[in-house]
Amino acid sequence: MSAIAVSTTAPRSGWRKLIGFNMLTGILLGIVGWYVGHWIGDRITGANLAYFSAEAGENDIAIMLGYFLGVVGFLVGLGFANYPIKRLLGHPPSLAEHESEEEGVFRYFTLSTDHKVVAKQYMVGIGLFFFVAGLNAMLIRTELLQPDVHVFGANQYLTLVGMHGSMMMGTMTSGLLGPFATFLVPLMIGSRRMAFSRLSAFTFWVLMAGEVILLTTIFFGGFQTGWTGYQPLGAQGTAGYDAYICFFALVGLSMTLFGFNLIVTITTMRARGMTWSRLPIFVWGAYTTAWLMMLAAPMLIAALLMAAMDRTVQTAFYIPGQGGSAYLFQNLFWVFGHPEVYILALPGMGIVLELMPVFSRKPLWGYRLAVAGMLGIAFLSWFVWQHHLFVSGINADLRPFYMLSTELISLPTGFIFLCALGTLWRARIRLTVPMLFCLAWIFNFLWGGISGVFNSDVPSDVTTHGSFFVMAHFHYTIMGGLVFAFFAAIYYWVPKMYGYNLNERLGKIHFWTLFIAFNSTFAPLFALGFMGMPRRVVTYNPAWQGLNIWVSISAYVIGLSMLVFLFNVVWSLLIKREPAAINPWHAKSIEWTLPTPVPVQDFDRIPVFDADPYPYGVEPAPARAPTLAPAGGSA
Amino acid sequence: MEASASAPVGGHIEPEPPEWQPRAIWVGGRLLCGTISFFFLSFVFAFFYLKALDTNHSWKIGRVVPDGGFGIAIAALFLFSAVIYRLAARRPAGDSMAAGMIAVLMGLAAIILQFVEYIVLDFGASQGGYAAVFFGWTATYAIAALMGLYWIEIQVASLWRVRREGKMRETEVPTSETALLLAGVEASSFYWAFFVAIGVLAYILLYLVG
Amino acid sequence: MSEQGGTLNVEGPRHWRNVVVLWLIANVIMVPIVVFVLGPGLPPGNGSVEASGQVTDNIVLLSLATPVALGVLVYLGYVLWAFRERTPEVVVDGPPIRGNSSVQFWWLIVTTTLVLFLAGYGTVRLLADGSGGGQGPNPIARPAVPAGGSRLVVQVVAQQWQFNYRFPGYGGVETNQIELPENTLVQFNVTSLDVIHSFWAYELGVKADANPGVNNVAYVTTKGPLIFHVRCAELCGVWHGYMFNQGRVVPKAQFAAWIAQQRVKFAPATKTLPPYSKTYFPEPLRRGG
Repeated sequence: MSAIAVSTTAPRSGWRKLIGFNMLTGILLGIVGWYVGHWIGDRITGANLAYFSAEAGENDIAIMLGYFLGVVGFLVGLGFANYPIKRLLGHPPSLAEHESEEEGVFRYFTLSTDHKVVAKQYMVGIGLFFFVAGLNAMLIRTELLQPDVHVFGANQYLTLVGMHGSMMMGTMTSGLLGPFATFLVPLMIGSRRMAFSRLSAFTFWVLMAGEVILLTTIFFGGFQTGWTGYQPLGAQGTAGYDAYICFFALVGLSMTLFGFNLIVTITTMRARGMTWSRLPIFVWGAYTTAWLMMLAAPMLIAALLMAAMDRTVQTAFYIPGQGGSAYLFQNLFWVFGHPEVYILALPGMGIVLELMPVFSRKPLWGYRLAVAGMLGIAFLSWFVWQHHLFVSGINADLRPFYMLSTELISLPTGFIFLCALGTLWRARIRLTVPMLFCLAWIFNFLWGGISGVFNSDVPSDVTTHGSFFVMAHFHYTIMGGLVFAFFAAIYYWVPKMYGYNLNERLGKIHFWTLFIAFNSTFAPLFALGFMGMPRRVVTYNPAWQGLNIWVSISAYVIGLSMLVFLFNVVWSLLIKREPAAINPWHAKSIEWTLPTPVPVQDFDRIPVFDADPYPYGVEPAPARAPTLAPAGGSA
Repeated sequence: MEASASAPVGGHIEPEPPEWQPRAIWVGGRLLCGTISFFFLSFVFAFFYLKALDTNHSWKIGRVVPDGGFGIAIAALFLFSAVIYRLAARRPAGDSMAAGMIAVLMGLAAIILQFVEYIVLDFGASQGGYAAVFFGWTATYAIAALMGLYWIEIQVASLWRVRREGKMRETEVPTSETALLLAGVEASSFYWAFFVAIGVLAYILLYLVG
Repeated sequence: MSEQGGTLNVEGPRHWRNVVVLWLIANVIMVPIVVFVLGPGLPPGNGSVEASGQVTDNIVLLSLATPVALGVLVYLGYVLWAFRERTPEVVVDGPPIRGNSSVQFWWLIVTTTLVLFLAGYGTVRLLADGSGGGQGPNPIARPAVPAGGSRLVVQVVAQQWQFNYRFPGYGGVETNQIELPENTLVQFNVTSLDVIHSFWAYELGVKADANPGVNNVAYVTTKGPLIFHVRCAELCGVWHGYMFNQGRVVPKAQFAAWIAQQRVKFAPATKTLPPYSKTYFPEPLRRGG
């Protein structure tokens, strides 16, 4: 019996469609939940001054309860409570949910169990908050144009810094896997869905709820800790820190469950013939990342819960005078935090290694080495976290160990590089927009990686820790790596996901502007750090103003390049709408054999795999697109 | 890859292999054990770390002694609940439904006892590092336990419904409903046993070592 | 099937030779520039023995990083020139090379050696004198007192948003400016009164986090007279960016005069201060914020 049901009721039209479980209902119930939670919180604490933050007479318990019930209301309004309640009453389990044939934009505002819809929801949601966070960065750089003329108040500035960092980290951890793994991992392993389709939708909507909560920090005084949320500064801070806690806890929840879903999917739902040694490298990237997501995020959630308890019920996890320790937060945070940055890096590696064979027209060089590299990175990432704490006063005996482990992690990273470089050897390199972004990844991550080696060396780190050098390092790896891979993936897969081509010339303008402006922005930061400029400062030595102006202007150019990209998206996907060929890149992976748009059931017949994933160089003739149903979906 | 993936238009849509759903549940149950261990690992770490540091001699401020009677009662209730359910789940002839119901009731009783203990305790959450870990760990444990008990309850409810209806009902998925239910029972019992083991560790650390 | 000039007909080894030659030439040019031109100017300068140690360390790192970076860049540049598809209208595949175990083996050996060397060298340098970093309450790398010099203990008390300096050997006087005698082994006991700060004396090559309730020890061996900049290197609240001051390393006699003058100036304040201690906790214990 088919797992796909065709909707038998007549589709509702017009405003009637809005009644029911969807985002609008979710928002309404979320607002109700906020007020209910806030009211309960006020009742609980009464007039007890200890719970009140100095700002605006706000009550941390009321705010947290408000956020909590707000999120619950939001999720209930979307319909996430329906299946759990049905199960509570004995409804049989159904992992394979109906995916209705409903067309149209409306399904993107609902709980959808079609992984392709969830992927596109992620794409838009991630994109939206990526741009908001990027805008924050523009504002930060505006402040830093002059050391003694301030555009923003000190608290506003720090909140901007914190929001930029938090939003980017929280958004981009699902930035590649959300849109692309959700869409492609099932296809690449020969499945029609993620193992738990409802969970997939849940991780998306929970992330969106968290992002909105982060934005509300500005109504409660912002937060002054930056994205790392250090204690006891966080316990001391304004009520906006509660928004930070709730945001990151929700991000953590989304990450854990997403990783969980990916692991179960890849482990149990591979079609016949899809052995572990035939998995496309992108799936390996998703798989290794998923383990880190699933196991690291719970520790973040625990650390944040402890912070929440310190702020509300006055525990002393992080208050030294009262028996706590600031180190406790630092350690718990970074045990999460270091795997977190590999959660950011690994999907980018998976994408670059996946795309390079297509545009080199050769198989991936050193497949097994690449897999070993990813596994090695994932494993070693658990053992390096104290390199964030080299000068913080941790036990000095530990530092050589962490120096060694951190240096060692450059070994599996090197494997990834070797495989990317090897794929280019004697290739027939096609410089399409996705390939340009992949090549730029190699360039950028090179500098990110080398500067990481500097940071891992304790004597060198004594000067560079907490300075702009570190900022340059992680922007080169995260932005130069992950974000460039993100755009490579977008330009590559949009023709399949959306059915329209992105304009190639605009893509090349976007690429070159971004690449040059990116390097122009962040390379000088290495120098600024070396010269002694600390992070997160609102003023600096006037001698460095010239360099700061250069950096800020370059950052604005990055913003301009993003406008070019946005224009391309709007023009190509909404206005021009030139239908894409089924396989415009002549790629040989399975998603390109499917019609565009991909039908709701993905595969009519469950595939059987019998060849390695990169059969390039085997046939000299150009790849033929298989004869298939015309674009427009099949019944 | 030469994958035979797409049939011509209007062709039959092949159903998915039936064995992946129970397998997914089995794997999922084990993975959840990993997730929850890392969550509580943070509290284990906090316990030992704050105890070792004893900053400002404030590991315990004033007289901070948990109620041993409550501790052992709560731990025992959870332990019996896990053992009964897991044993029944593993035996083919075991009555998982009855065992599950008992497990849920015992678990709920343990949670209620925990909150009663909070009221009865003569120290507060602010009295030092130990107090913080005590309240933080037990409270998060109780909430996580509710989620575990929910998982057991839905197995019980499904088993009850299947028993009441007598026969296997055709569902929208091409898989044996019994197989899926049994997978759910097995996975939830494994998870619950693992979860309770964490609780026993909490008891040992908070009540005996601390 | 079109062909791409003569390059694809040529064996791999010829390309390989080209890459290696280009790389060697690049190294011959760049490594001396890095070591001899950039090197001496590397941060944090030679204001103290530990700072000089860091400069040497940075030179070593940079010297090893240069061939690595050049390797990737030269290779990338070459392959993009040699193997670019010149007739993109036709999609033609390249040779199905899936790997080369010899290359992988040597890559592994070389990178592992490099990494182990760096870790070893860094450890040796770190353990020699602590490199100016904060080592916690039980430091393991204590530099020796310099020849003809002496030692001095200075407590750095960080708070929102300024650094204060307390001299236990001089009656526990606490000042808000810092001067240090030249040719002296200085032990900084860094602590905080509230949140995490970080005491960063750039030219001295010193950075030690100020953690509340913790005594974080860092050593520096001063050389000649110097002006150094102290900045807070850990976000500590709204005025973190303004938490800085300047310090000086001065001749011994001048330091003695200065500290005597500070004792007189701050005598009334010193009377009200709590006794010198490695950490300070608020009394009575109460929660703020």
